[in-house]
Amino acid sequence: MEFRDNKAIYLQIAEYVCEHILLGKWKADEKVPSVRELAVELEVNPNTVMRTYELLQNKDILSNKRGIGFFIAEQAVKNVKNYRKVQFMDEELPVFFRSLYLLEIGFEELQNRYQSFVKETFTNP
Amino acid sequence: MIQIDNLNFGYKKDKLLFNNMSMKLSPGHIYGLLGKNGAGKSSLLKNMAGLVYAQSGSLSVMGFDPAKRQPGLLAQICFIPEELYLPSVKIDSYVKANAPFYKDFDHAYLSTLLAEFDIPANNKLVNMSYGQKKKFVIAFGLATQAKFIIMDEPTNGLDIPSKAQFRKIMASALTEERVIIISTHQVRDLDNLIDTIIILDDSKVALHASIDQITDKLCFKNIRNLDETVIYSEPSLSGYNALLPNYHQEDSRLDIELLFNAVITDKEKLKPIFN
Amino acid sequence: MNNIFNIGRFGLLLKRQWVEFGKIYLISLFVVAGLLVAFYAFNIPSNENLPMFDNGRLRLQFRLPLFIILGFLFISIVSSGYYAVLGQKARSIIELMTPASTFEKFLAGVLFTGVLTIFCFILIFSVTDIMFMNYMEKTLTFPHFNDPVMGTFKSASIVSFYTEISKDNVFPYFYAVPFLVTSVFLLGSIYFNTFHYIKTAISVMVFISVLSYFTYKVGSWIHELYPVTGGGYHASKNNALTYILIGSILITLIFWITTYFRLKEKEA
Repeated sequence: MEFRDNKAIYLQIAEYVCEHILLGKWKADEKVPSVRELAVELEVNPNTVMRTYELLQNKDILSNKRGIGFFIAEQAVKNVKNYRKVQFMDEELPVFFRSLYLLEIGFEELQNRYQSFVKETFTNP
Repeated sequence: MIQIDNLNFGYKKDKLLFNNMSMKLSPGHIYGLLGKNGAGKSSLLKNMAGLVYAQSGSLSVMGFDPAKRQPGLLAQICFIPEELYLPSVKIDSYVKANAPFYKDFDHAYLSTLLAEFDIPANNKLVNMSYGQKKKFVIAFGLATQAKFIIMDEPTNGLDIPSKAQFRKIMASALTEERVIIISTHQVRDLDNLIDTIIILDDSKVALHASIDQITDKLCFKNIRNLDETVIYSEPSLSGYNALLPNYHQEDSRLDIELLFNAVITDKEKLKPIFN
Repeated sequence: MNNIFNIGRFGLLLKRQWVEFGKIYLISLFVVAGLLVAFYAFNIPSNENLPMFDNGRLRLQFRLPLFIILGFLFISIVSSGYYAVLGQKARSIIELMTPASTFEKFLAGVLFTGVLTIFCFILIFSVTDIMFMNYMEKTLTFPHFNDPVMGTFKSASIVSFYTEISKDNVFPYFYAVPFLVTSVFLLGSIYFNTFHYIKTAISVMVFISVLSYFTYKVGSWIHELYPVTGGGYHASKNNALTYILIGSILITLIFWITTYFRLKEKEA
């Protein structure tokens, strides 16, 4: 995994986990890789992965079954979406808005683009 | 687990490399030891292993005084020196001769590590390249199950795939009872592996803080314009890579090189933030 | 866990040291054996040319110098290599970090140089000597004499080197000398970082010259102060030899103790 420069590693790992959940690679009630396994895979300090897992546990995305390990929480997908939504609104949207404003892109143009994007990407067979 | 108090050390009596240095290392962490050339990184590591003797001060490693070189402690230390010289024997005879000193030596783990590092087990140690020797010593050292792992520039001489393997191996080597300390100039090699940073400068510990503590107090950002809040900055393609106080509780990614340069050039500005 | 001496750990250390030094050791031993055989073969007398007899024995004069010179070279060279690796920083770290106590590492050094080396040399020398003695017994023909009193006897007999030399009463007084040689070269191997052998040899020579010079000076000074009148005092031969024995044992012990402390203080 390539880490980006501008965001704390533990948050980038959280995104990575969330991505897996949203894409359905990791499903509800399944066990996620142990802290050590994921640390080895991503070549990071296990304490960093631990911090990620604790964060996701707080967001009810993961649940910690003592002595067994971390599992995907029942409501994980919903909670991931909430979590990501907040993040998107807080972090990505301001940048996006800034570009809209600077480049003078109207909402109408944007809407058309958005609709065709959804059609092309998500409604294909 | 490792406690250093008021350590005074120098190779010459009148020129001290460490002046009243104190430090504490706890298990479950990978410490990154940074410093300019000649700041004494290797010397500090050697002091911890009892390979050199300090003029004064106290050093306690797992309850032992390392200067006594007692087998009980030596069996718990894995020291990977920067320069290596191995005897001209085959790997398995080296292992046979040295492994029995470590009562928890894990032969299966050694084989796994050697396989991961691509080192054939019947190689002669002297005929191996520097990088291969280094990988062998790392593999052997980790297989001893030592609790205190000291590595002096471990990624020097490793090729690109080996560096990735090294990071994976170190990530799995960190356990709750282990202290790992790694000195390095190649911070990029170990960026995400280190969880606590120790910077030596001017015969003192200039900074000793965990990455969480650092990113809690400091923000690493790419900005367009400099202002008075900036603690330290370096020009980049799109403005400046800057170090700022973390006023808005941002979770930025620690840029070790930037932090290091900031500490070396402007220690005074950073001091109030961490105290 | 005993941090000073543990017999099991000491055994492991000896094994470990053997893995590193054994090969060089055996090669040196092989060279020594080769040289011995060559010397004996070259110096074997032939029937036409039997050397002079000495006390009714065949005279093989080359044996004593061969024993002393070759023995000295072998034990000193091996000893001066033992701690040599500690002179190279890169290599000394691995040695110093080996989980055995300083005392055990020191004792291993003494055992390998002072005991094993001397023992091996004596063994190899004896074996070669006895082999050649047997060979000569078989191949050489000695004239027989008829003596009215003694009966028939051979003109000469062959005795092994050790039998010959141990008949000499002086020999036992030098028993400690080989240990002295190994101890000084062992100390040299840890005291100097490079060129251990030559530096040790030069130091010993300088030390002995200085010592002799001072002894001479002090002697003549005492002589001037207290001029000897009459016969003076002569130490008996045995007295002087006893001093040599005690002196060599003491100096050997001092060198060994110094070596232990050098090893303890050695930094990497």
